[in-house]
Amino acid sequence: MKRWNPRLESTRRGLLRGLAGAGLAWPFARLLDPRLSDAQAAAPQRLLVIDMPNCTWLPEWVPTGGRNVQQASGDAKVFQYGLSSSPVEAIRQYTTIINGIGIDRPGGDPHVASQIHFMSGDVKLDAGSNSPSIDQILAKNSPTLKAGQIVPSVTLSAHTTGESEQPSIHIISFDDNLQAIQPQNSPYEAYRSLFSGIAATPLPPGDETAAAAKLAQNRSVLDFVDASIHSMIARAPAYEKQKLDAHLQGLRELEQRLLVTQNTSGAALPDPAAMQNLALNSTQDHDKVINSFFSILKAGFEFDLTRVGTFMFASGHNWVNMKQSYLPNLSQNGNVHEVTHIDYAGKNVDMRMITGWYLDHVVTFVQNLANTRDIGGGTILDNTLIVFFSEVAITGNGLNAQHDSSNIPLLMIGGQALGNEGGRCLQYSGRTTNDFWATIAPKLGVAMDNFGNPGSNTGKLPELFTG
Amino acid sequence: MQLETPRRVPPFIPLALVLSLSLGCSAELPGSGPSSPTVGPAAQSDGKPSVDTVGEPTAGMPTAGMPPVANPALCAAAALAPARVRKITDEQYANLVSDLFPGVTPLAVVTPGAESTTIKDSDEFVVRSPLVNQYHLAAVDTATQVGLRLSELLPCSTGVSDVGTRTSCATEFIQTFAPRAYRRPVSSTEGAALLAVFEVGATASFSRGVELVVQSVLQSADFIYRTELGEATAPGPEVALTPYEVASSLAFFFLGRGPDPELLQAASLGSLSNANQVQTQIARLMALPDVQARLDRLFIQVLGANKSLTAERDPALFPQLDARLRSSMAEEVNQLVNENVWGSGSLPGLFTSHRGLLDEQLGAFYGVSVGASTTAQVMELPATQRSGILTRGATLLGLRTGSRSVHRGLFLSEKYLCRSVPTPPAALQAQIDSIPAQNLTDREISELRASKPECSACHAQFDGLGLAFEHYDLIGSYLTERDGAPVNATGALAGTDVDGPFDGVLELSSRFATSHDVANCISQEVMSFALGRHLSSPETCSVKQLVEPWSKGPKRLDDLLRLLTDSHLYLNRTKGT
Repeated sequence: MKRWNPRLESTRRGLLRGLAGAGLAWPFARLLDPRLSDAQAAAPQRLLVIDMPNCTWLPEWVPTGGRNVQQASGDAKVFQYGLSSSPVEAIRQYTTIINGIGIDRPGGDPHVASQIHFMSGDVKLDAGSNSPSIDQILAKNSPTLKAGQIVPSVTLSAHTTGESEQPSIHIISFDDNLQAIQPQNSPYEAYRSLFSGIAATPLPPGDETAAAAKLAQNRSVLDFVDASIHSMIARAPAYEKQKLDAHLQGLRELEQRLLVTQNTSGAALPDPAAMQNLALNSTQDHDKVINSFFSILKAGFEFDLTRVGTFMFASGHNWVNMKQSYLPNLSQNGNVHEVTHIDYAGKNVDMRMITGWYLDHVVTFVQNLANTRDIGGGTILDNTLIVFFSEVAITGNGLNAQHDSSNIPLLMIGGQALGNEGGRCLQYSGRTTNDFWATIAPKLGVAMDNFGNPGSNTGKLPELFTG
Repeated sequence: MQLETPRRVPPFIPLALVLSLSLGCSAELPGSGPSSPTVGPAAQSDGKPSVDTVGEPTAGMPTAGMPPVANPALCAAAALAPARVRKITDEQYANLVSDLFPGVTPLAVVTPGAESTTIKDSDEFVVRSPLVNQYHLAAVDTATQVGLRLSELLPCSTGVSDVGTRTSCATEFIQTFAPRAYRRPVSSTEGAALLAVFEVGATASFSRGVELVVQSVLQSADFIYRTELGEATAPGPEVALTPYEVASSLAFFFLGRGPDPELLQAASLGSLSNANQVQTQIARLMALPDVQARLDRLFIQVLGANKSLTAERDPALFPQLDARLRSSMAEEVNQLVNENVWGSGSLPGLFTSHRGLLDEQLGAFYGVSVGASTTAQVMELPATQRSGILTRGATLLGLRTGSRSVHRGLFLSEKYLCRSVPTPPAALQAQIDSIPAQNLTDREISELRASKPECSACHAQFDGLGLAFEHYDLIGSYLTERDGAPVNATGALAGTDVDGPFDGVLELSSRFATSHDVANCISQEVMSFALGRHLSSPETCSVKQLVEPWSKGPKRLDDLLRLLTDSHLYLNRTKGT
């Protein structure tokens, strides 16, 4: 069975012509079923960025030992995690911990400006970004990430509100037009975006004709909608075109996803019923929301519905009360961002517990990916580069609660097929997250001398990859 | 823990904005400094008029933190919102579908990011893949419900027996349904296209054909977006909204749903291009109880008194703050606003009223005995403790926790004076870091900031305002002591038309009641919601000019609504290119 390749049919009309040429024999589910295509398909590559806002007590995060890259001394594999980063030990073999990389933000709110600058390399103070974010750049330009595009990228967050009404406190992704991409905070809606309409089991043979008829009906509806958007573009001022083009792109993604009609792989889809009534932006269901999003990401990767994702545990002002529901032994009660701003003895212990709670979720997710076979061999984790970061760290003795982004918590997990060897610690000094992404992008097939603001670049990071 | 620490707080408990000691702020005060040299709506490179947040620091604009200044040159040019398309809100979507198909329960559509914004129908919202999917699923679900009730919703469907009757009935459905969905007449081309969609489904069944039409319309751009484009052929730089666009604008603002039959009829007759007719429609709409309740909620949001049901407080610290008390607070502020928008009151009354709707629990909270009555009643409040909206539980409970001087001050500064504060340059961070921890009260911290020019440039604009609330704790209980000493709620108002020292929020409220600046700010905020956008500085200037006569009169808020929605600013746009 030949695998349908959306690369060859990138336009909506081209896609439909291709399907018509196939005689509408309803091969789509099988054509898109990764497991039946192993022999033909190359392993996909993927990128996932995980943001854990404002939780880390830097003195306890930084590892000791490892490779001092700039002094060319030390062994990258001989190191110890800090007390706060120690949960990563469980996935040590997949992980590179990177120390000494800063966000070269020009000012602004430490959270908003840092998280945007991390992702785009050129923050516009409190008003968005001067550059598209790296997830969107790579989703659009990386040949290997584009190859499997049904849904080019997903933008998720487990908690999008905070104490602040700052409009960008929960945003890290920006499209080509520098428009903010609002993260999806509902696992149920994220599930529906990727999996709705996909039958859990293969269709009985007799139903294939009905499915083909349904496809034709869907096509007529989407054609009408497509025409309506084009008509509006023709009537609206030119400056509205970007917005309406994004709508058109969304329609194309819907159309492509509607072609995936059944799960013939035997792999389990997440249970949407368990997600439907979760309390969003709440403390009480924060744990369930996180787990749901990770299950969605895993399934989305497993079925090759998407290859690029961002996931924020919370907004830049993490407004989850950990003591209330998850960490009763914390000495301070309050939302995470509040706690980071209180001066009290033992704060490092509280921060360690909070960081550990989030890292435990990451570890479980990574281990699940490591235990899931991927298209073309290897595991999902082998082919998925996970970048984990926090936009600020608590520095000094913490009593002044300083939010510092000059050296941020940064991990590269998985992505062995891309050259992330894992089990390493790399120490840099005075380097920037712009350098970091400018080093990663070529690994995904996108040539990049500088990322974002040229003034924030100091050169590629040597030794970041081994392969 | 809530971050009003009972005794002493560390000096720079900042949260983001406490850290916003800014070198970017100027000591200039509104009215005293130069205003923007920019004239008219600045154009971006893409030709779109720039949209900058109210008071946001922009090159060439008034210094950050200052409310927009009425500058004749600035206001002389057209300062209209641009012609545009706006996504309908999730609430409007639900109402539109429910109105189109009575008895049908539409699936909820949840726009990503809407939970984090105040203006839900901002023209900045973009319909991306996740939302496209939601619209798709909701349309399919609605269409299925319509299909199941077709004989009820489309009686002619019971009589279709051949191609002729089938087409006739489908045409009837399209001609009835599509114009209501689009809030305008449907062209013959659009009708033919929908009929073609119907025919695809009708090969399976008549019902299926109708379902596909419903799916198509509910996902189409003409349903999901509101247009404010005017007539493309209109001469000049401005364009008037078409009668149907006026009908939609009035309907969505006042009703929260699509145009009702009266508005559609007026639009079809072309009478909504007539000022008198627009006024007639506005008057009709504002007399509707549902509209009044809706606009009460709008004012409550504009005034920042809308969080009594949701503001988080530690139940261990405030066990008395249960759901009932929160609800009583919400009802009280609703009554206060209603009385001063639609009743005998006006804007000053919002700040000075001593009357509150009290049940037993809220009465006890305020220290007022309500007697044996089982229902809430309007009663006099303690005159030295409660006066106007700034002293009511719903407002006080909604104030952000953390540094009192900063967060409470910013609340007043932003909500009532339309000031905004820029974020600090990175260089200031080092200075902040260098300040050692000290065991200071909130007032002492504020005084420390006032002593540092790099801090006071911004903090002087709001620290003092925040301390006006010192008599109230985190849920709005009245305090006579703080930190073991009598409460000191003194401060000074600067940069307004009612400057001077004050002692407590009651005195501050009295100032606000007479302030043109405050009236202008509230007007700007209401206009922002009416237009669904953060106003550009030229637009705020135009609003100020528009409401200036009103702000010098009795300041009736129903008059303000009429004034804003019947205005050139509301009914016209800068023509797009």
